[in-house]
Amino acid sequence: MLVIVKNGPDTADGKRGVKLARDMAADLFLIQNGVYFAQKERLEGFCGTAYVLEDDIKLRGLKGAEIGKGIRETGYDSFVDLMADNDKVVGMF
Amino acid sequence: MGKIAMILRRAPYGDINAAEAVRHAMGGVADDLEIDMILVDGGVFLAKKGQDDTGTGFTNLEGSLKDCIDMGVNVYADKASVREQNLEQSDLVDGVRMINATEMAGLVQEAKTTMIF
Repeated sequence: MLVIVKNGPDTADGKRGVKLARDMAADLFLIQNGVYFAQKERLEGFCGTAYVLEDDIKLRGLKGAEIGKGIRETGYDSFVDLMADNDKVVGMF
Repeated sequence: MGKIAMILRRAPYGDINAAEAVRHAMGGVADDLEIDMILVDGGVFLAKKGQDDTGTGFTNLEGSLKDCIDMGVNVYADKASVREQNLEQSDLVDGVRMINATEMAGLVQEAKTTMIF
């Protein structure tokens, strides 16, 4: 299962999406302002795989060193592949 | 005309608020109005250094904010929000002043009009 989050950590929607992914042990794809969840420590203890859209972190001035360990930076093609490959896709929060 | 305070609460690019705040601030200062732009919550990300819009089709709002500062807009960032968003003053563009809640209240009190984005 893949949960897509487009809202930032300062929003109820964003927090809800990440909580859902945690609760359901799903993978997480962060796009738009959701990429701020990729900052170090924000996803501490997250058990699934977290992906973040490269273009959106670049646009927001986030650099590699600011991104949490284990979070995979990917492009649109991988995003589409993940959506196609997962049995369920939930979003966008 | 009195001072205008503009409070930006939302992070840039996800919606139109940050772009509109910058546009209004620029318009105001170009018309010789005194503008205080106050960044709170996710709004502090507007001042994050290193925004790269290459190939995205977005307007680089870091550049627009710098233009605002050069034109005379006073830009403030709420210290607590900066901390909450895992940022430090060194992550923010030059010319942004860090303020606490009391100072922020003072700016709003001084302003004749407060716009919230």
